[in-house]
Amino acid sequence: MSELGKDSEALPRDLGQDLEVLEAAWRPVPEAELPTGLTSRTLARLRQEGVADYQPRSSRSARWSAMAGVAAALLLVSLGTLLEPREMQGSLHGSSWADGLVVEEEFDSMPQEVAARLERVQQLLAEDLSVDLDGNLTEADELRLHMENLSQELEAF
Amino acid sequence: MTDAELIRAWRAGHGWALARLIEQWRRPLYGYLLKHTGQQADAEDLFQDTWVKVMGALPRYEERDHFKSLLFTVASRLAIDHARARNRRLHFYEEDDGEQALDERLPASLESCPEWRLAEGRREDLLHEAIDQLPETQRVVVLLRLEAGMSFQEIADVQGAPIGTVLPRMHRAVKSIRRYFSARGHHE
Repeated sequence: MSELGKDSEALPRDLGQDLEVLEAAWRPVPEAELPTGLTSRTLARLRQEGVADYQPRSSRSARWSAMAGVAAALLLVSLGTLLEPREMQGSLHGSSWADGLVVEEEFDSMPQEVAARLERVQQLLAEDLSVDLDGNLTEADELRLHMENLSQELEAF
Repeated sequence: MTDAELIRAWRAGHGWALARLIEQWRRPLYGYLLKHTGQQADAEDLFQDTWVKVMGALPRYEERDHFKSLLFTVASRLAIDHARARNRRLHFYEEDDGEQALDERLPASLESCPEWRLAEGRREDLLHEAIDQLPETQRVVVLLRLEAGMSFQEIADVQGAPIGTVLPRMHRAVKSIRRYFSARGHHE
């Protein structure tokens, strides 16, 4: 059953069945026929009305691919630096109960450290991303938003 | 990402979030408008107009509202206005009980109509013809359901009607489609 069929039970049985048949037979518009986004004319209208700062989707430039790579690398370096002390101390203690103790101590002190590092990563990302927005939507954009969310969650924690 | 997250990001100054929101709704919105108008150029114009209206309304949007309902309410109104402006005949008449009595002669289900079992391409054409002949309120219900993937409650929100009104509309619409296929089977 399609996702659409989730509330079909509200209909009489024969109609619920027909609806499922219709849903299964329905063909979405092919990708090639879809509009790519807002037209330049629409954007001009929006600018005129002061409605929105819209960055249309377009082909991804090599620069943006590189930026996404830089963002991911920064994230990995940050997380790697965060995890390293805990792993090192755990290996020095060399026992499971001691590991637990160290992890617990680290856990208490981690949120501030995490938040500070995440903030720094965000700053770096913001600096990089502001260089050339060029209207492209990339994984780096989303990464930045996720980082912001993560930062907020950790701060709340 | 959810609509609410993207709208929140847009309000925080991330213009790309709006681009992602448009991207997320591109297919169902355009599909709905295309099926509603039957014309690619008209659907493309209405697609643009819908977003202009919606973006104008976004600053007042509250997260407890359903963005999908806002989007398709605007799209539906624009599509109906557009049809009126083009002098397209819209009929809002819904069948009475006398017509319902004819349903006794209908096949038990859509799948049992011989015409439904035709080659897929032909069946799709017939289905669109059948939907085009529905009263406007029923046509919107069917298209919101099939093209936009809306629940009946969401459709009720778009139509500003209680769900107890929307369900009978869908009921009648599906029967009309079955009747259309059944009639085609007898005539050809």
